[in-house]
Amino acid sequence: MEVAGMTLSCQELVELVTEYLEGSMEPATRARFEQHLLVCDGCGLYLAQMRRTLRATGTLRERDVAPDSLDVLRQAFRSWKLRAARG
Amino acid sequence: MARSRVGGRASIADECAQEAWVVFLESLARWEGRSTLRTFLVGILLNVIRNKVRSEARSVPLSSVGPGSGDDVGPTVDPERFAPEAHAWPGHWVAPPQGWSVDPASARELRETLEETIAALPPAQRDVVTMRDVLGFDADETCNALGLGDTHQRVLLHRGRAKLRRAIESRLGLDPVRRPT
Ligand SMILES: [Zn+2]
Repeated sequence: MEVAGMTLSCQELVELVTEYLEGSMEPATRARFEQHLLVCDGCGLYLAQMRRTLRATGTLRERDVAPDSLDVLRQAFRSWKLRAARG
Repeated sequence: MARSRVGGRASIADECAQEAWVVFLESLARWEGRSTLRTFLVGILLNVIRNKVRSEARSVPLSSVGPGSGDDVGPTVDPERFAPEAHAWPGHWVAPPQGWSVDPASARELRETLEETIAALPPAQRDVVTMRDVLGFDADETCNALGLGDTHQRVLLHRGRAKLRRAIESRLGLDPVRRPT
């Protein structure tokens, strides 16, 4: 069954969201993607939530990143030592 | 004999780690403020990543760190949220996302959720998400810094981002009710 704007299923669309946001999508696929969005609230919401998530992740830089990076470092050194210790 | 418990390799690794810590702490002391945050963090992260890659290359079989392995494949959204093949509209939402009443950029607990989720990502996803979405580097810069191809970088970003969105959804209590399996 084919519904107008539904040549791409929702399940396929969610896996293309990053390609869409990156602007690396082929024009034909992009057209199908955008057509789907016109008729599907669920996918529109999914995309909108992904954008809000990215905006929120960008705000971590302002204040919270340094301690995080310290953890990254600690973990890296810890696993490095563990691996070396195991031989 | 206490000494025999410590292998030669562990001692060398200890020295390496300590040396890296000294370098790191010295650079932290030289860090003069936010204007250099980006440069500073990138230098540190890239060194850690390089070291990690080198140490993994020594101790982990290549097949388990290459692209397409482990967490790099499979759907990023629970397949149970979509209609099955037999349905009139296969692949259409049966449990679509619910609207968020709170903006994750302004709610402290959601920012914490993001931090925790990033920290818990598989390392390759974490490095890409950190460079792209936290530090704001573009795809080319990230590929170059981490030694990734375009497609692999995008796959790692896609999988990491999907987990961040899902973590917020879950924290807001908007997980769809799961059917027992
Ligand atoms: Zn849809």
